[in-house]
Amino acid sequence: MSQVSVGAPRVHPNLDTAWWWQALAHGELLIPACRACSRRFFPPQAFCPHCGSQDWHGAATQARGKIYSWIVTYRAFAPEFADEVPYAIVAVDLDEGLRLIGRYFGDFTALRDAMPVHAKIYRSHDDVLLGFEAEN
Amino acid sequence: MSASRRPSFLGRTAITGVGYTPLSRDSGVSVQTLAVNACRAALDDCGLAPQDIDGIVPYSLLNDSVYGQAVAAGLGSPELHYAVDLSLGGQAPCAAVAMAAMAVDAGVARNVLVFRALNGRSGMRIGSTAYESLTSQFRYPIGFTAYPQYIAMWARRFMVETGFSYRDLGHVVSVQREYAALNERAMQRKQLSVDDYLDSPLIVDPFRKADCTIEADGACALVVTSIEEARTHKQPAAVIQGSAWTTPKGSGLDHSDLFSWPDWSKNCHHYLRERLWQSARATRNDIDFAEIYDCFSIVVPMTLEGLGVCATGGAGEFISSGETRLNGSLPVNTHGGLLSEGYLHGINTVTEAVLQIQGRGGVRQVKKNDCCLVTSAAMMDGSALILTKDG
Repeated sequence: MSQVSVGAPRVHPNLDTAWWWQALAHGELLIPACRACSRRFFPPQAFCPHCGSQDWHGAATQARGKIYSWIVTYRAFAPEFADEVPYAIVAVDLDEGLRLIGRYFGDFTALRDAMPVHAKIYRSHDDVLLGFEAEN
Repeated sequence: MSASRRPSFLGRTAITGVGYTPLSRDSGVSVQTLAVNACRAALDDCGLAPQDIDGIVPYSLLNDSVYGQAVAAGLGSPELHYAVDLSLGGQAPCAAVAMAAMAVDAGVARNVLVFRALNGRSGMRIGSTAYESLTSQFRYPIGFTAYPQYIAMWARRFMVETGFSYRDLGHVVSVQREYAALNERAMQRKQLSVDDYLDSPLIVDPFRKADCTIEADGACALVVTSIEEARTHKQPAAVIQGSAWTTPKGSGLDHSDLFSWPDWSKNCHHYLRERLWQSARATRNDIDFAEIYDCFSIVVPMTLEGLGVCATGGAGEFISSGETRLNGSLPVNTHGGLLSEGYLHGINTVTEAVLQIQGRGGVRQVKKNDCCLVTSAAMMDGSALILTKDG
C-alpha cells in the first residue's frame, strides 16, 4: 500500500488559512468578506473568488444557519475515526449566505432539510474544530 | 466565447481500437505492464503496429499511473509527436479523447492512444486514500475523508430536491447488475434485487456498499484517429460528433472542494449540457443509448437530469420503470457500469460505448446503436462526448 499520508486527521493550515484556524481556536467563527463586491466566501484564500479582489477582511457571523445536506457515516473510512461511528456530518447554509461543513452534535435521526442549527466549536484530537448543533 | 461555431475536430475524428487487461483485485504486475498490455491490445484490435502510434494521452490521480513515455518505451519506442499526461480523475476520459482528436485534426499526430492504468485495489485505493489538497484541512479533521462521503452529500441534496428515493437508488444498482450478468469482464456479476439492496446495511447514509464502484487493478486503452485513417483500420469508426468540457464557476480550489458549488443536486453536466448537444448538432432524442460515468449510483440520475435526458425529478421513474434496461427506450451503462465492471476510472465507460457503436456488444448488444452519449464526471468539472456510427 502506498497511501499518501497527510497525518490525518489533524488540521494542517497553510499561508492562506492560518488566520482562520487561529480565530477558531479562540472561539471565533470568522468569514472572509470582500470589500470590493460585498460578498462572502469560503475557504479562505488570497483572492475573492467572486470578483478577484484582495481587499477583504475576516467578518464576524451570527454562526446560525440551516441544514443544506447531511450524511451519516457508519463505516470509518479512516482508522482515526473507527471509535466514533456512527457520526453525522452536515452542510449548513449560514444566514449570512455561505456554506460550511462540520460534525453534527445531537440526534442525527432528527436531521431534516432546512432545519435550524448553530455553530458549536469543539476540541478533537488536540485541534479546535467547527461543528453544529440543533437550534432550540 | 460563443459555442455556435462547431469545433473543427467534430465529425472528422473517430475511435477505432479498444483494449483491456483483465480487471482484478490483485494484478500481480506493475502499472507499466498493465498500461502496455492494454495499449498493445488496442493496437491489435484495430490492426495497427506500435510504429503507427505517434501520440499518447494518459490520465492519473496522485501519480498512480505511468507517463505516456513509459508506454512508448514498452511498445518499442515509437517517436511521439504528442504526449500529454493529465493529472485528472473521472473528469478526464471524454476530455482526453477530445484532446487526442484535436491533436489529430490539427495535424500534430496521426494515431493517438488514450489509456488509464492503475493497481487501484492492490496499490493506492482512491476511494479511501486521504491526500493533501488546498481544502483537505477543512474535511479530514472532522472525519470527512473519502469520496463515498463527499458524493453521499450530493446524493442527499439530490434526493431532497428531486424526490429521488432509496428505492430508486436500488433500481440503478439492480438494473446495472442485470447488464453485468451479460459481461464476462465485470467484477461483480451477482444479481441484486431492489429488496435485497434495501436490506443491506448503509455504509454512509444514503449509500450502501452496492452504490459504490469496485476498486480494481487493470488498464484500458483506445485509439483515436482521423475519419479517413479510421476507414483503413480493422474496426469500424465510432465517430466523435459532440464534445464538451466544463469547469464552471464555483468549482473551487481542487477536485473535492464542495464549499463554493452552489447546488449539490446538479453536477457539471447541467452546465455543459447546451454546448454538448449543440456541438453534435443533436438533441436528447437522437441518442439510442448512454454510457454514464458512475463512480457512485447517484451520479447516473444526476447526470441524466443534468443533460436533460430526463426532466428534473424524472430520473427515478425513468430508471425504476425499466427504461434504461437492454430492452428499454434508452439502455444505460450496458457493461454494468463502473459499479459492476470495476473502476478503471471511466475509460471503460468510453470503450463500452465504442464496442456498442461498432456492434461488438455480444449478448448485451443494444438493438439500435447509431448514436451514443458518454460522460466523464461526478461533481464539479467534467466532460462528455456524443459518438455515432460512420456514415
